[in-house]
Amino acid sequence: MNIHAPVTQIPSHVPPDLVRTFPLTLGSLTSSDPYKRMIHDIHRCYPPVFWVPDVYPGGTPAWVVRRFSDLRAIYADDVHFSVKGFAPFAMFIGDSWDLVPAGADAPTHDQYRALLNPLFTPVALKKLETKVAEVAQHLIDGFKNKGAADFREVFAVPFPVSIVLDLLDLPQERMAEFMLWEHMLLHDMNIENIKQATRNVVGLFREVMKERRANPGDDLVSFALNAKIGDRGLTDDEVIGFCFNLFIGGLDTVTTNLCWQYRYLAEHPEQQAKLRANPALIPDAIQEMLRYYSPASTFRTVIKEIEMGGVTFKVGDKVMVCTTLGSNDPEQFENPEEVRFDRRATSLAFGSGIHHCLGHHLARRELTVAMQKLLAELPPFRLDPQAEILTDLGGVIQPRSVPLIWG
Amino acid sequence: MANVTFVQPDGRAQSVEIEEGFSVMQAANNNDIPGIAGECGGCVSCATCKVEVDAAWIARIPASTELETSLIEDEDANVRLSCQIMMTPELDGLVVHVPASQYR
Ligand code: HEM
Ligand code: FES
Repeated sequence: MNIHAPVTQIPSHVPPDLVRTFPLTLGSLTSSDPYKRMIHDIHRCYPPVFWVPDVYPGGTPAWVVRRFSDLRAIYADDVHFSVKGFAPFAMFIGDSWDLVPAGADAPTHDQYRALLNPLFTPVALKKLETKVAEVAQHLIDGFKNKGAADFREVFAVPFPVSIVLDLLDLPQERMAEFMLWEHMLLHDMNIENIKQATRNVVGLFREVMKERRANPGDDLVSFALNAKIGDRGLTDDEVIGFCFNLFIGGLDTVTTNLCWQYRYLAEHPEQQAKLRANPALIPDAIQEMLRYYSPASTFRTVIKEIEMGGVTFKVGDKVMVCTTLGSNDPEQFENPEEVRFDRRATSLAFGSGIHHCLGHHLARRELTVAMQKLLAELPPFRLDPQAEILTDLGGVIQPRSVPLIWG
Repeated sequence: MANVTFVQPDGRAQSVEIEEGFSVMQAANNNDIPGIAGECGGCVSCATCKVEVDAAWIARIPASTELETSLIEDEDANVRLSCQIMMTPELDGLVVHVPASQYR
């Protein structure tokens, strides 16, 4: 691995020996499985904190922190680190909204979460369970007799989209449109396409808001329109920010974990057999695969100078919070490169601190129901030996296909 | 130092000492008590540190904030986020019950 980046211009507070290339940078593509070697090599070869000239979206510099304990400290620290300015979708199209709650710092953030948390507790989600199972069954019925399929395309993408459509009470016929926009927003490197998709998504939500104002239902948009913080209602910008947050937070992340989980089970028939024989192990297995395959990275901006790992982060510096590295830190997890279904470890899969994932119970439920159904409905499956799997690296680490065969 | 006892769903009990000012969640994590995850590190966002406080003790713990309440199910009487229970001398001897799963 070539780990020293060609140095062009580095700020004076950055020690030159900490300037590195970073294989997980947005825009990179690999034909290997990055969770097998790449992640663990970074832990073996890199210092605890290093500086990468082009890892921030758009190709600018950021610090990368790889240790679980340092990452937890950053997530928990809103005195030195802010979420403001990350995910600038609104800015791209000249709008003024922020993501709700991901784009807010405390104390506003806590008011948003106090409002939204009750919608996403395990009991509140119970009533969704039947729906989630129906969606899974419907999708599986569409491909189970075919003997082969790209699991990403037939299940991992449409499954969470269908559930979010339901939460927003939008017709399932909008599925194709949603999937296209999601792809343009999160997997297209062309800025014009990202802008167009942002406009499309925001346009749709504005339309839905108008309709729900006239005809409120028991969906999340109607909830947001009628919600109160103290004695004020949410502004239109806040409602858009909330809907947009669900769109970018609740789709791709679930898709990615589904892709990795079924690729893993396809490549490890003995582990697949274990879960088939004992479905009660599924929740723990999912917990462990969420750790091992933690896919998401986001960024913070330094708002007050602070030292970490022997270096100084200056005001304005960007810092990558990479759940993938934190969840595979050998100082925190014994032999992190092993998937052990009975590990029951607390990982960084859903982040930490005040922004810990609002939808983690929903995500876990989706993944659990999906696995119960898929293992019951499909015979043992394996990877198509002919196929090459390419994986996109970046903010979300995701394979472009999961070619399964069975029967 | 104050003493806290964690009771598992199968009745097994483990007692640990906590330094004052630390939370019950931290005590569980530092002593490898199973069943308390604490994913958000005590920031009142994950609700993976829930415990049911023994009825004899619930009145002695300061009331929950609105944010904490937003993460607890209405039907769960005496359930608190253990990251929000800070050890004080008055809580020496506290008994809490660990749920079968933080994820249900
Ligand atoms: C396995 C699937 C998922 C993973 C791996 C995941 C991961 C994450 C991570 C790492 C964060 C923290 C980001 C940061 O602090 O910068 C986060 C926040 C968030 N996630 Fe998820 N997520 C998943 C599913 C979902 C779902 C299904 C929803 C839909 C409800 C959702 C909604 C959100 C929201 C709204 C936030 C922002 C929370 C806040 O700022 O307080 N996520 N997620
Ligand atoms: S540790 Fe997350 S709410 Fe207590």
